[in-house]
Amino acid sequence: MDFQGASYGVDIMGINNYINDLNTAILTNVSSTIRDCSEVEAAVKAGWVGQSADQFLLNLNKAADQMCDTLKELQKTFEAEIKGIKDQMMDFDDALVEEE
Amino acid sequence: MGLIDKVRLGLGKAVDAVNNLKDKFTAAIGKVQGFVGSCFEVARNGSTFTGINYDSIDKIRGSIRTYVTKIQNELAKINSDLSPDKALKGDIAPAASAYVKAVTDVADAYVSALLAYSDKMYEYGEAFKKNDASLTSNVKDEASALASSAEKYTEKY
Repeated sequence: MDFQGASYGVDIMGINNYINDLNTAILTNVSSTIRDCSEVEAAVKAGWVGQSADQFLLNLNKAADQMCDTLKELQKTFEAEIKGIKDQMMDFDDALVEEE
Repeated sequence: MGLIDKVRLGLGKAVDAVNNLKDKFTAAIGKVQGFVGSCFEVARNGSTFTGINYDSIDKIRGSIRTYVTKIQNELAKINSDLSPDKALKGDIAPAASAYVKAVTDVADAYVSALLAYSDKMYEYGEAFKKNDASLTSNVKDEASALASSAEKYTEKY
């Protein structure tokens, strides 16, 4: 039987790929979108000049960095949960049938 | 009184009149408080001017909303593009999907906090407008005080 034919089960390679795909989605794609404030910067520079404008952009970029750090923590929590599911399912399989 | 003495007296009175006018002018200048501020030759960021175009406020706010929407669209892709089907089988699979959705919902709500910068932009715009109005009022008062002290000297002869 291959994994696709299973009604219940866990695929270790599948779990690892799923976690990697989520890491890419959250830590790379979402984070790079958060860090790309270029359109906001362009809009600010087109209509606002001074220390206040510069500080506004610094504050926004700082908030974006903090947001990325929090998403990283969220991703770690998720990863721990999925790995926990995998471990629990593997442990269950290990323990279900005892050697007689 | 001789002629020379009369001229001297006349000149003295004229000098007094000029000096009195000068004193009044000095007093009027003294009533002007002036604005105390730092003596910037260039703005702290190196620019030779500071200012804001009020029309840009809505554009900046719009750009922030677009920025937040782009982030939220990336988060939404996680639920639509990724599936645990190749990792988990059984009821646990949709449960894991629901867990991922809960994570992305939390992230989505967290990211929406960036919209606070759109509200900040509105507040900064209002602050600029109030400062403009306040400064204008003060300068008008100073101009009025100066004007009321102005006294032209007209020749008597």
